[in-house]
Amino acid sequence: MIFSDLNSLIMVFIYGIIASAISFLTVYFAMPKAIAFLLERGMIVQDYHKSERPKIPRPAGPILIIGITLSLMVIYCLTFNEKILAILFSTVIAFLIGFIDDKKVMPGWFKPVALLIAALPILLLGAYDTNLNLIFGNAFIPLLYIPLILIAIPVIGNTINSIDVLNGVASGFILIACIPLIISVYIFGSVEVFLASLSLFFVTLAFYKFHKFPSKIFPGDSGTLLLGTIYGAIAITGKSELIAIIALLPAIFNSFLFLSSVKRVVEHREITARPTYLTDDFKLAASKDKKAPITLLRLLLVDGPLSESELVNKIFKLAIFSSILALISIVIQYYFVLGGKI
Amino acid sequence: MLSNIILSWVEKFKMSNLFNLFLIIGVIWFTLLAISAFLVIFIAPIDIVIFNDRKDLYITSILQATIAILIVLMLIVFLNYLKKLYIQKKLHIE
Repeated sequence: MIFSDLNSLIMVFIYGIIASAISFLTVYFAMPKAIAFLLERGMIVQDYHKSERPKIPRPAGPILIIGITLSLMVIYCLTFNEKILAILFSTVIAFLIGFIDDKKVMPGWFKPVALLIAALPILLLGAYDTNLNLIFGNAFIPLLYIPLILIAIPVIGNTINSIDVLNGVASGFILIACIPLIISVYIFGSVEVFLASLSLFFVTLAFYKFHKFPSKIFPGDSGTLLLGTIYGAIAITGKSELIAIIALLPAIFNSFLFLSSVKRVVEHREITARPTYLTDDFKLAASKDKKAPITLLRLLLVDGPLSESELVNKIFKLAIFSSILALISIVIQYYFVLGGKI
Repeated sequence: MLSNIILSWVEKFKMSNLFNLFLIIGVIWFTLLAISAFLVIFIAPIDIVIFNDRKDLYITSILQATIAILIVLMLIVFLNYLKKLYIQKKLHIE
């Protein structure tokens, strides 16, 4: 990102405040109304990890998409950059796919296959660069980059979806992983995508207030798929693909563990042998069943049962660790790709 | 006194499975950096070496893509091996 003068720096600062304020305030003030609306309509699910089994409204996806759409539309009106449109369209498509899954039980293949459509706006609007930043330099990969986009969006969308197993994990994880992404996009990407990354951060920050332990609302598939997809779309359009992968390593490792033990694309609800179980004092414990899939949660519980909040803290520690590794990678890439110059 | 507390805390942390998971994430990160360095140093300049700087974009791209995909497949095999080792040690599952 190059600032030609002080005026352009001030403009970016003002645009950043506008984008952040719109995204944060929309979600912050609309979410309590959405919670009341969903409770009134009986759109609730039980929180099985608590003794009193509270009924939690779901999904929060529609409010998140309103916050992101408003913020990205304002950024587009200020910058007229097609990358913003590509991020917006991809996110809306992912939200719609998740919303269908929220309303109707779909087979396991539905989300990964349908998310291929969410990758199309990035390709059709040409919102990508064929030079892939590889920490120690970049590689020109005109042919490989297109299938890479088609793989990246479904993988990241489903990765965030599959880590949403405890109160506040999906939103908290994205929040932590957003910090290296924002810095990377600021250094290696463009002003416009940097503003979009601020929107994602502030939408997630406002949502975390309601999603953190004990949750007042669940994101649903519509919420997690849109958060994962916008994260992936920002990483691609902001030339920060590898940095984003490093920041998401614990979540990607979780998906890898699950897929390599189940050996097929399947919904969690279709699994008969559960990876964890609830003890009598409502703590989570690792399953001893050899047929149960291996997940990050199961590995975190091998030392003994933990309460939900203790387990969430452990996942956040892993997210902070991978984000630190992503920050170290940014420093290395900064010297190798830009030669220490912004 | 303080150093003893810190040392016992470090020992306790090293014994915990969170430390092992940090280690796994660290190993994956290091592997990703090694692959990136390999791609930048050996694979990216392939056109200059093979085609003597004549830009045959498609052939170069196909060659580079094939090598990159093979390396990613090798990474998946390595991760699977790492996972098996860890699971055998911790969950005692084959």
